[in-house]
Amino acid sequence: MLWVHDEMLRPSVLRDAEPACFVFDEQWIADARISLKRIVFMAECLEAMPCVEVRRGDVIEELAAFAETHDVSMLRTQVTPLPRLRSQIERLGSRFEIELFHEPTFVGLPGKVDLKRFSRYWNKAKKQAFKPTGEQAGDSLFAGGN
Amino acid sequence: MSTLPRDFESRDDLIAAYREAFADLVGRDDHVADFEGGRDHAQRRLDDVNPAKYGKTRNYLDGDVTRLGPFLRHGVLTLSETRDAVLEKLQEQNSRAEKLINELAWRDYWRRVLADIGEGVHDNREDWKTGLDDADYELDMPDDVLNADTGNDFVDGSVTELYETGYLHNQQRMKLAAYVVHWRRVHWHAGAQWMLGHLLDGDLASNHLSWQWVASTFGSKPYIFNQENLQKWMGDRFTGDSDDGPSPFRGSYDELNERLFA
Repeated sequence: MLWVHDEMLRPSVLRDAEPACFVFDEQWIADARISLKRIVFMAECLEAMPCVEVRRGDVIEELAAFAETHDVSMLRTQVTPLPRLRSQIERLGSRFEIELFHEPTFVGLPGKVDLKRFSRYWNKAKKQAFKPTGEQAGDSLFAGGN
Repeated sequence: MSTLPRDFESRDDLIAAYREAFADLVGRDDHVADFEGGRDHAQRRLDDVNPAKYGKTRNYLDGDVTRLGPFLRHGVLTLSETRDAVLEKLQEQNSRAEKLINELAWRDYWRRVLADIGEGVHDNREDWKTGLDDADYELDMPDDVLNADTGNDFVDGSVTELYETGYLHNQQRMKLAAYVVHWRRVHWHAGAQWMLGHLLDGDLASNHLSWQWVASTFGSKPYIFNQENLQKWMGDRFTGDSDDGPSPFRGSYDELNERLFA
C-alpha cells in the first residue's frame, strides 16, 4: 500500500492497483492549529489524486485499519525531513515492511555540506542547481536516514 | 471508521463537507482561501511563471511572484521539476535571471537543515544578537496582534490578509515577524507557530528557520526595517502609520537599533 503523507500530494506517486491512503492527522491539526483553509487546500490536492482513500484520526491507527481491509503488510511512502512524519514512519516500522522512496534530487552534492549559513551551501550547490534533474548525481534530497 | 467523502460535484460541496467534518478541530477561524489546490492548478501556475520578471519585481508587494509555495510545500510540484521548468523558460527568454533558481535552492537548504536538526528546529540555533536573551521575550502572542487590532495599518492589514487568504508576500512575512519579535519583544517561536497554522505553504523548515533568521538566532544580526523601507516595497497598500501616534517604524536604522535593543 502507499501512505500518502502531506508532502507528496501529486498523482505521479500513485501506482495502478496499489491501495493508497491519506490521513488528516488530528493531533497535528490540533497542536499546530492548522487552519481550515489549509485543510481545504490539501483536500483539493487529494481530489486530484484518484482512488486515494481520505481519512481523519490517529495516523498509525488509521493506516493499520486501512491495511487490514486491503490485507497488506508492505507500506511505501516518501522520505521526508519533517520530524512528525519521520517519527510516524519509525512507528509504522513495527507494523509494516517499509519501502521508502525519494523525491527526485534538486542538487546532488558529494558528502557532508556545511549548512551553518545558506552562502556556504550555495557555494557548493550553485553550479549543480542550474543543471536539469537528469544531470544530478545521487538519488537523495538530503543525506541520512528517512 | 473515519473515512472522509471525496469526488465532490463542486468546490462549494467540498468546502461545506470539510467545514462540517473539521468544525471540532479548527475552532472559530473558518476562512477558506480563493487559492485552489490540485495538480492542474499547480501546473497552470508553473506555466505562468516568468523568471525574468520575477527577478526584477519579486520584492514589491505587487511584484510578479510565483505563488508556487503551497504546491511545493505539499509536494504537488517537486522542487526538481519546478527548476527544470524554470530553466526551460530562461532559455526561451534568453535570460540569465538567477533569482528564482536561488529561491528554490533556499527551500532545499532549509529542508537539509531540518533533516539535520529535527525537533531542534524549535530551539534557538544560536544565541540572540540583540543584547537580550530568551527571558526578555514574551512566550505568547499579544491579543491585539492576533485580533488585527494594533491600530497600525501594516500590521493589522497583514494579519487580516493572512487569516483570509493563507498567504503573505515575503516582505510582509519578514516585516511582520520583525514587528512581533523586535517591536513587541515576543519570542520568535510563538510567532512562528502562529503563522505556520495559517499559511497555505506553512512549512516547518522555511517558516521556523526564517523566523529565527529575523530574530538573530540563525543569522549574524537581527532583521529590522524602517518606515522608508516599508513604504518602498509596499507601494500604496500600507503606510506603516498608527492610529494613535507616530509610526513605530519611523527613524534611521541607528535610531531604531538604539530604541529596540539598547
